[in-house]
Amino acid sequence: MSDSKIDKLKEKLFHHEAVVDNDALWASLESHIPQSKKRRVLPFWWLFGLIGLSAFLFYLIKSDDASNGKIELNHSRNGVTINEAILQKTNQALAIENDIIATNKTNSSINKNVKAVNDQPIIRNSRKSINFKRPVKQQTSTELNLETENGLENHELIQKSNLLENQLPTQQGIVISSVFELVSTPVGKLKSILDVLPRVSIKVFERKSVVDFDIIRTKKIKFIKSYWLKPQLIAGLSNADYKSNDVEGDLAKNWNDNISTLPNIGMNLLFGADISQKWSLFTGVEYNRFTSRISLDRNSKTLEKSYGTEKTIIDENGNITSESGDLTTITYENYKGRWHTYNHIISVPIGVEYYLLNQDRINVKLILGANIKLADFQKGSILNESLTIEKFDFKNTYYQVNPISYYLGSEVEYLINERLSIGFGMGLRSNENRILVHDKIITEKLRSLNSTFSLKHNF
Amino acid sequence: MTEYQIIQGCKQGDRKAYRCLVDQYSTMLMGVCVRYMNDESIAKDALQETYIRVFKSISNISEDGNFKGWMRKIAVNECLKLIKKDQRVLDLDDIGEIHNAIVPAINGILNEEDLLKEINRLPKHYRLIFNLFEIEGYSHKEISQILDIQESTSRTKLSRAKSMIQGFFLPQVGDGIDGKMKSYII
Repeated sequence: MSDSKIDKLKEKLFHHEAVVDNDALWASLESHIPQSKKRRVLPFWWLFGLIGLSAFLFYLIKSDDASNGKIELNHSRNGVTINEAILQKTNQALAIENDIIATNKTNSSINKNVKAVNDQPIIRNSRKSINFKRPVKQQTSTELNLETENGLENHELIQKSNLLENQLPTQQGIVISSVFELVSTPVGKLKSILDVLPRVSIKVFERKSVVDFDIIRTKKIKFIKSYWLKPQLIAGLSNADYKSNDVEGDLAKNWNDNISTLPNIGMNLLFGADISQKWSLFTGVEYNRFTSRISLDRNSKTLEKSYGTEKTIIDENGNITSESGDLTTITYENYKGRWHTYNHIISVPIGVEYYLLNQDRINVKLILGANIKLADFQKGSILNESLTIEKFDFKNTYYQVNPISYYLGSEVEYLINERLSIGFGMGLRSNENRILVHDKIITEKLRSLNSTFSLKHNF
Repeated sequence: MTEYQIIQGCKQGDRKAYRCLVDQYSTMLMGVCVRYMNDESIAKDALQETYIRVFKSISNISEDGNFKGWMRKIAVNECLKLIKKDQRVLDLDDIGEIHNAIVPAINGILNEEDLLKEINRLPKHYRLIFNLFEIEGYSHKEISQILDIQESTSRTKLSRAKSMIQGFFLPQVGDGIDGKMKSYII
């Protein structure tokens, strides 16, 4: 029998159809229809709603304050300049305090005089009055006309400091930032994956003027403490859409693999504190969801994959072997499959920033950070041409165990005008994934190069 | 409804979409089931199980995937499950059955119903392996895993099944047999 007849036979059988009583079939199936699931609104969308509401309330409160008084206050990260009204009031307070000390009046008299100061028109913050214009050659105006009191006792100095501090407003504000981040991760010898991670953040901060003991001697008021809260929304795109032979080279020439990622989303909520003029600390919580779509159509015995640069395998007996170059050896044979994976990653970023340069218009800082993954749930479905669809999750297939990524970078920020600034950044990220695959822990190290461009707007 | 609309509708729990899913694909899936099952009532059972499985899993399927192919695979799997359940249906070591495989040589078989009838007269395990390998595209390794047999066994039985099927067409290729009946003793 000729091949064409066999083929015709196969074709006929493949497309063979048989009539069914659909009504009877439907009657038997109707009870098996799954209950429609209510669409779940992911918690973090609620969180964003909450943040938006908070920002709105914050705006309302500030607007309300605006009607209560006007204080012109200029600040930078370095220090503060205050207007004549504050200066006058502060000097008045200090003059009264000096008189008190000089004449050794009683505490009750002090209080009386302090009250006299406080009876002056109340100084309040206001949205309109807070001017974020950073001072240009105005640092000298941060000095107050304090008289040096070398002979004062410490407690008296502190008393003066507190009095002065009370006259200075606490600043609050919002900075909206849009950051465009590019991440290049080498994959194999032939290709780098380029991730584009645009993100938008709203930074709500409060700056507290702190007058410490030295103020009496240095005659300077400095902003040395501020606290901020910054939620960020991250949307990621990647060029990880390639044929397998882009990565595996000649071995995969005859394969028909497609590997791609779908748009990824994430958010984080950072808390930070500027503990001094030079140092800032931050931490928070971060959530990311990554989605990959992979289809494989390959006919090969073995494949040497070369992701990353280093591999460590710990077997069930605890023996550790380490190899450089290739990461994994995967065996495929007549394999056809297609799967989606969804990684839900919860992590804790933590880090420190150090300001190398902190001037009126230019800030240069170093950032050292770590991102500690608390959980990396990989779920998804495999549509295997040989089997059927299979759902899987991290429990029985693949998951990452406590991976940590480290980041070292620097950023330059330039103030264009009173409200607008731009920034550029470069950094290196080292990512370590410990993956449990078939009871073996495989550690892979990936290093990527980050570059950022940011645009910030102060409100 | 288009295939896309059906998948979307089912994902959202739309009963009309489920009904369309049944109406539009039942003949195709029943065609798969009857290839594996001699008995029509068992084939209907397989079809029902197939749909139940499809209902459960459709929320995970991608709209741009090969939806029909996916359902066919499920149908095949459900048939295999039923066959494995019923050992009377599948007895791979029952070589004696082959001796009773008397296949008529049929001139000009082009009607698929008749063709299917003749295929169904193959010994059950031959028919199974023929279906899996030639029609569904499974490899021998996969068949050996599914049926729990040696790969070589799968190859041998496929070869024999094909030889038997070739017999259907013998008169056409002019082998001199005026065959209205031809016996195959393997």
